[in-house]
Amino acid sequence: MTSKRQRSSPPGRLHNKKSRVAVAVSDDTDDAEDADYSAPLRHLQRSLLATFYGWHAQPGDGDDGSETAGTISDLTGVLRGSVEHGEGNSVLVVGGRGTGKTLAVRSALAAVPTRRFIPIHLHGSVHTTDKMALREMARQIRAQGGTVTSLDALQLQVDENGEGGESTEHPEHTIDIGQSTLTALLTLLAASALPIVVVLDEFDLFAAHARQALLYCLLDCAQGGRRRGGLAVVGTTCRFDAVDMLEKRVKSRFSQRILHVSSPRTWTAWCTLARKSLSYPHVEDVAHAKQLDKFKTQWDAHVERLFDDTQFELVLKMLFDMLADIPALYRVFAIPIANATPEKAFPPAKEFLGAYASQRPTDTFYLLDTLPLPAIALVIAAKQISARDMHTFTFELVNKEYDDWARRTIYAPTAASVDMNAMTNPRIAISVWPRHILMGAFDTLVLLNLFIPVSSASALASGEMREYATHRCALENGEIRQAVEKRRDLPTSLYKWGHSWN
Amino acid sequence: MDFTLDFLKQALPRNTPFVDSNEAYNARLVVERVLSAFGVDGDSTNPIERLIDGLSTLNGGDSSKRFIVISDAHRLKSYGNLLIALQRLPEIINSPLTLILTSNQPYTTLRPTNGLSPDPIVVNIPSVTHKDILDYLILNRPVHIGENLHNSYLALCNFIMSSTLALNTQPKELLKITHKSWPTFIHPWKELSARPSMRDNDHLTLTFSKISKGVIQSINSSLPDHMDLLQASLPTDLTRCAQLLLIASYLASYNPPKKDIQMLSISSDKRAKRYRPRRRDIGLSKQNKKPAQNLLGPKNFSFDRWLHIYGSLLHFVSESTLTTYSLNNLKNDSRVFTDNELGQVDVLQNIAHLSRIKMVQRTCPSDRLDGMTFKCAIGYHVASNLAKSFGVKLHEFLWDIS
Amino acid sequence: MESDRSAVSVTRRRNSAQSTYLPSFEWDVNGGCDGRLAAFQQSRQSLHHRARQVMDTLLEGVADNALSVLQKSPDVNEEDAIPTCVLVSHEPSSNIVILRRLDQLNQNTHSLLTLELGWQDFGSNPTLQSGVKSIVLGLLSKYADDDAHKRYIKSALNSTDFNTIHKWYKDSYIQDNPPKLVLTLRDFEALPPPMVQDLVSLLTHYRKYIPINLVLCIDSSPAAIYRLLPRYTIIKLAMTQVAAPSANTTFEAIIGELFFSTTYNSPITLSSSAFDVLYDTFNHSHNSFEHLLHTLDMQLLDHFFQPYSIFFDTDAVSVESIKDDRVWRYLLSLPSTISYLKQGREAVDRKLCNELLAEKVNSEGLLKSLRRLRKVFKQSVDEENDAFRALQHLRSFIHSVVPDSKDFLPNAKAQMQAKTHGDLAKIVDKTLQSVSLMSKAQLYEWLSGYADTKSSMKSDQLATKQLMSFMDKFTAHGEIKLNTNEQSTRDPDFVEFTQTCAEEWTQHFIVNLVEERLIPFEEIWRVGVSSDLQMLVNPSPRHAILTALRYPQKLLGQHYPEISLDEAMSSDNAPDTCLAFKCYIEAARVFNLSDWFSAFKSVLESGSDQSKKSKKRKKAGDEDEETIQLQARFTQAVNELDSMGFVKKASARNRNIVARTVFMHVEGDDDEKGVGMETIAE
Repeated sequence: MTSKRQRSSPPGRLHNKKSRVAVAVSDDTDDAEDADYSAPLRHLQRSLLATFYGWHAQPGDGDDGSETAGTISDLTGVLRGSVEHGEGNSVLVVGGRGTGKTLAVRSALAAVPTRRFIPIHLHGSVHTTDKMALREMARQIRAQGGTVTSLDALQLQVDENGEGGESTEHPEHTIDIGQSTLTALLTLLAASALPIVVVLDEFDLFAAHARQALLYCLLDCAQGGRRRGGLAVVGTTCRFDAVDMLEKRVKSRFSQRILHVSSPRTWTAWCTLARKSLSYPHVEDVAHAKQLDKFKTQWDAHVERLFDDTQFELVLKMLFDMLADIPALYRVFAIPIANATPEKAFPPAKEFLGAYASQRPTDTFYLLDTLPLPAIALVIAAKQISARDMHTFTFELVNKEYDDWARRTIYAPTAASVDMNAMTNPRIAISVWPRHILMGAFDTLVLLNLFIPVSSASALASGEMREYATHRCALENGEIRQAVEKRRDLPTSLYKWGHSWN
Repeated sequence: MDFTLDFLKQALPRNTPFVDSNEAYNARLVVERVLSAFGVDGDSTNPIERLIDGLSTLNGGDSSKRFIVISDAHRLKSYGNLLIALQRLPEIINSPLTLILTSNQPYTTLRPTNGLSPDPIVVNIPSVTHKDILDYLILNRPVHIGENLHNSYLALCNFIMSSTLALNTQPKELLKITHKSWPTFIHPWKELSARPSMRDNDHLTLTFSKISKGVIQSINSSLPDHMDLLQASLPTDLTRCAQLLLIASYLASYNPPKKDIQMLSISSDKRAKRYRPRRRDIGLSKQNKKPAQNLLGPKNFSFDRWLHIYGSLLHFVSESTLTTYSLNNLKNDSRVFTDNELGQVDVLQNIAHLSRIKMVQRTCPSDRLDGMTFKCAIGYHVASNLAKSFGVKLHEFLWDIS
Repeated sequence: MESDRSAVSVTRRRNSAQSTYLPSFEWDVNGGCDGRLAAFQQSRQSLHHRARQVMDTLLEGVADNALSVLQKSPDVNEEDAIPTCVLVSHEPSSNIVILRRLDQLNQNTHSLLTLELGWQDFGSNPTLQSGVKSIVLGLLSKYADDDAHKRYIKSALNSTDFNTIHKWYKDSYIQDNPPKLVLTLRDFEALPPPMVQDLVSLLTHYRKYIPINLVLCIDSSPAAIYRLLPRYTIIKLAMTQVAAPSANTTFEAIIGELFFSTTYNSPITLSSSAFDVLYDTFNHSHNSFEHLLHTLDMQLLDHFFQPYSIFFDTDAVSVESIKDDRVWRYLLSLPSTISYLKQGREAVDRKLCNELLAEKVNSEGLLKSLRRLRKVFKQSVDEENDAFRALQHLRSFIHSVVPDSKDFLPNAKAQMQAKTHGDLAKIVDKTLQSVSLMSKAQLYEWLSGYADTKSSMKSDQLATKQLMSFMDKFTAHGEIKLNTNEQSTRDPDFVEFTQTCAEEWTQHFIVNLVEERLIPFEEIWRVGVSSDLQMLVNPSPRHAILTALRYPQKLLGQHYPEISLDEAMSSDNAPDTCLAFKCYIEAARVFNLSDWFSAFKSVLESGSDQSKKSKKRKKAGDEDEETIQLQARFTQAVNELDSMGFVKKASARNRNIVARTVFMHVEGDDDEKGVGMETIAE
């Protein structure tokens, strides 16, 4: 039961403290009286997992001469400029997914000296309209002690221009969006005297707003230095052409300051990063210091062993070759460490390998080995059809394919043979399933989204026959072959058929 | 899957919202569930904003870890960018919060475009092993089973497992089936107090396996075990006119329009029909051409074509099935007859009825009145049986027979 | 063109070609018209009343079944699938009746909270949200009081949230056996299947907490569910099927109860043709109960339009009321009367014959004999029905005992048909053959089947008589005594007893059913339908309009005697619409109004040459005067055609270009060409 529970936390995003919690829960339930390693292990897990999912700056991220470090320093300079000297600045941080843009920005914010300022985080994919963005800004300002005097008036304004924001096709509306957004923004920014740093995640999405009103106003304020307190606009995006998406008037107001962030390019850098991410964190609790040291040494030794291991290296290399993506790395590392229990504190390399396998983004064939046999047969039939380069099929087609095959292979097709043979030996059970069973299997496949309906929903709504709704198969040949090989209880003939298409 | 949920339900803190996306069928409801579970409320009409607003109010005590469990998460795809917001939540509101999505579809089906949200950690729930299923079945056996019958129940479970695992691997369904088939299984065993021996159990199993073909068949099919879809779907209660119309619709959507004249001209000269190419010899010629129409499904046909096929079909059906009235018309003049019959109110009314009960699918927007197009929604067997009831052979009118 | 005329005659009440006397109200009959009107109303009333009674009794059983299914549905904790009751019926109306009945039943036992949903409750384009909204609001407004309503519906969000129902239900029903919640989906097929799937999965989620039941009303075969829903939805429903009586049973029951029953004496009886019309319209074109009644009304109307129906209520009419001799003559010219007279004199009573022969019209005697005849007719009808019922009972009995008797013994409908057509003879002796083969027990069972209905009907008396004789012959103190070798060989005297039985029954049946008895003036009380009634029940308006436009004389000739029905009208006196239509037929798919006008003009002028000659001499002013008139007429005609939907605008820009919507088949092409044309069009 324990093992089941450990492995059975379903697909989901585990954010920082969560995984710690998951492990904590497991520990509490497993062994209240802690075995010798539980405390240090828990500490290890906490800190490491926090790093894996977290965004707080890594120790010593600045001192290696990577590009990120430079970016951070530049960014810090800019922010300091606007925070201390009340300048208006605007920066765009560009970098691929998972290369640590947010990390850079945060560490820069952290690096800004202690003078109080208001950071505002806006997220392009969440605040999809200027209205929402402004609201959010107001909220954060209020939350951070900004005395927003005329918030209600602001709300009103925001509301009406929010309507305008949705309906962009009325020119007269969109004109006064600009102004009203501007006024709203000004009231906002005037709300507190402190310097304000606006961080725009997914900058490109803000550029997609109606007439880029928000960006226009922000950048305008930033450039014109209209605000005494000082204002910095930091945008992060993964689109290198983000600046070109800006309208001319907006772009002219954007100080073309673009910083680049990228993940480690070299194999060595990658390895060092990985090693650092696994190394035992520095701790300063004296509760069980002895255990800690003991454990620390063992752990580091284990990490060393890991890095010598070829499997582990394979994992790293695959990650590096596929996409040098730090979150991916973290995800892969997370599972074995989260699974580590005081009994087996040191996850071997093959766990990492397994973790890597399980984290591959397109991974559907684990669905296949729970499928009932008719469904498998249908999948194979679908493949047979698509081998004759017809990539959409109806149930009738698949059914016919199956029937032909069955007629070819099985000499006495009896639906009865399913239970009789199965009772004796499921491995060689050969059977022809009648049409309605196949239909049920087909439905199951559609439910699992392995067969993806192509025909329009309206056609289905108007009562199209389900036998004739066209579908396409979501599976690749390789996946199916793997599944066929994994399935032990497959009838031999079906097994052969599964391999027969090339 | 269900077991996972059950486990999570007991493992996670009390106030964790378990949102079933089947039940919360749009973003607003999901947000509503989450907020109400956390006992907070956010003021906005936009669900996402509301969510953020609400959750960021409980930002204070970060020591408390929060979870959100959403089952059947693949439905979130249609909820706008709620998913992104949910996955970004901890970043946005700076509080530890965990999203757990369960789904029976791979994450790729709902991953947002250009990586707007970080990929989750994927954990595959391992497939339940046969032994586990068996234990599960035995664990919750029907309560009324006497102590003495456990062995035979075990035998039943073994039988069900061995005979149906090929077809179905859902423990709960298997359990249902087992419970359903228990009485019939134990039925031959008369004295319920006695303890049947091993041989008796085998005997019972054999007898049961003889009678239980229907059960086994029905396990993975979409039909109840006693039901045969063909004869069930025979529209016997339709009017003759409607049945004829159905046949006509079948012909209309499976015959190439150019061949209508040849197939059902009133002067049904057999020579014309003999020229029809058999399915197999063209099968040789076009090996990898598109397959037969009856595999690809019905084609649309126009209203008038339908009517006319219906009209000419009236000339073939055996007289006993027609009304005396239309027979009279048939006698005196075929052309006038068809004109006369086709416009009739009842034909139109029947057409309306047919398309209402979805026996004929209407493939044009419902506000279009001229040039309506339809699509046949019955299978070959239904159509041919109907035709038989009218004393005509369907395949005589079909262009290609496969 | 026969059927053309009949098609045209839809536009008019009756076709002059059919009946010798035009039904006319100019006859010197006071009170006659109101008499027939009253008679019509009253017989219609009684028929409808009876029919509805029958229908209700038919459907009540179904409703009870449904209710019992719903009440016995398993509780939440023992069944997680939704208990679903599938109401199958061949027509929507009966489903509605059943639902109404269900509600009534539910009124006295408040064990269910019911809510009906039609497709309109799911919005114009059905969505789950609006469906849930209507569910929530409907339930609350139906079962919760206002302040509760207020309490639960705080925002618009609550109303689209099924959870509201959950809360409300939890709060308001705490007691140990809470009422079940029954949602009824009327016209299930009309709803889009994906939405139904979502709804079902939603309800399944709440099924854990609330005892939700579903009722799906299906108007086609029960397979519709399996056709429309995928497996993973179906396994969420625990379905039990409750089927309304099929179309045939409905027909048999209603017609049998109306016209062939001994308990209810119908004001009027069916002739063979009338029965056929009923049968055809029901079976072929429209098998709903309402439509059956509708057809019946039509027939009654037709019947009471006949002049002889003045005499329908013989007690009402008196000699003074009908002065006009023609009425009596018409009465005497009825076919039944004539054949009656043709029959040998000794068969019929002289008095009546003399009166008839003497044609002593509007005599008191004739009226008296009419009254007498009516009674005779009624009684004969009763006897027939009684014998027929006996036959039916025998049939059903044989069906019950002899498994394969379905193929040589026709069902009730066929027997009714045979009876109305007067060819029951074959059926009768077929049936009685099997009587003579019965065993003792069977015979006993069958006869006692009559005996327990204590009625004074002939067949019952016969049955009881035979039962008595059977008793004292073959039963010893209540026990049917069997000979030792009863199994192998049949008891000889029992054999001859059965022979006699069969004989007697045959006699009985032949006297009452087979040989047709002939009563003068029976048309008065028997609905005989002329063939074009079907045109009325089931018109084909399109064809009628087209014919009227192509051959205006056929329509006009019926109203204006001076217009002859057969030769075509010359274009100058034909109505403008027809002329415009003629040009319309010759035009192409898309054509220009001005061309049309010119064609129209040319037709007119060709029609009136001499006027054209005279026009030559006329001045220009009159010329365009002419054209202006022409234009006016043309515009009117085109507008009429337009209002009939023959014309539609072809191009958005140029308003002069119109497109044809109707394509006639001109002489000589049959529908195949039509199909060809369609294919070209596609």
